[in-house]
Amino acid sequence: MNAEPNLTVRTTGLSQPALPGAPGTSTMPSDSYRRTIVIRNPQGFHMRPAAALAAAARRFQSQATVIHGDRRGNARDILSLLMLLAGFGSEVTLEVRGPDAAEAVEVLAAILGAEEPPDPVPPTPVPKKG
Amino acid sequence: MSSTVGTAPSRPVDSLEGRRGMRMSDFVVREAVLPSLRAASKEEAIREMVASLRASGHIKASEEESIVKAILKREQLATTGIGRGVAIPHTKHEGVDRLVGTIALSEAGVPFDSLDNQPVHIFVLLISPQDRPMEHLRALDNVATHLRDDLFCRFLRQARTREAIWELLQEVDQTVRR
Repeated sequence: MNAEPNLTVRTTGLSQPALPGAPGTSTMPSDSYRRTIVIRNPQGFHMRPAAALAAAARRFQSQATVIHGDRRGNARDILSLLMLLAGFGSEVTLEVRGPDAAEAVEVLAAILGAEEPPDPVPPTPVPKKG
Repeated sequence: MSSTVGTAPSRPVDSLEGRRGMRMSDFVVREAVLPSLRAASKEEAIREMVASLRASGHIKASEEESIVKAILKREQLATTGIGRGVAIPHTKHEGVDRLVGTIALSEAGVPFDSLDNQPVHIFVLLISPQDRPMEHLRALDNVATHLRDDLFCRFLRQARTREAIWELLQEVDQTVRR
């Protein structure tokens, strides 16, 4: 058996701080972070959370990848995220690499581990009468 | 060393083991496929597709309006127009006891509040039972797999008849492992 260094400490949602070197987040060289998250949305990781994750991922320079089993999804690409097939209770791994990875891993992990996704688009305001 | 923090889900974990590929023909209703939408707006497009599923006998007439409203409500939460001329309007609804869907094409394109602000030419509409989220995810997996394929989208947009669309779906279905 290979004695590879363990890079993953499992966490659920945001139950652990994600500062570099803090419990719950593994730090790899060059501003890289890896976190394991349990999908807690009862409907699984469906289209709305995927859209929310993609919108959030596009705000960062870092590259983020979500891994479920043998499937890998680019966090900026809704269609590739839909192909993760991650149902309720599934464990997915989030990998983030880049100059703002420390912040990105926090934001993206929160969306992945949320029971309800944030709205990526603000609701249309109701016009005032009169 | 590895540790897990937090409590385990109260429902069974959806395992990757035993999952099977879903085919387009498992949920797309052939008789409801629309090669040429007349719709010029998001609501018209959704109404036309749902009406086509009702006309094919796959949803009850009494459920039609409720399903249209549920899909429009979902669109208000966030658009399913994901860009590249593609939209996947959908809902989970008690009016169906199995996953049903349709494909519709618009040569002119329909304004759909898409993420890239471009009109939509390819629609895949899905209506799922409320209690089968994994089936819904499998359908999304199938749809996403094909819609990421530029060649598939190009050929789909070139199809002018229901039969031509169905032949294309059967062709891509053969690539799905079961």
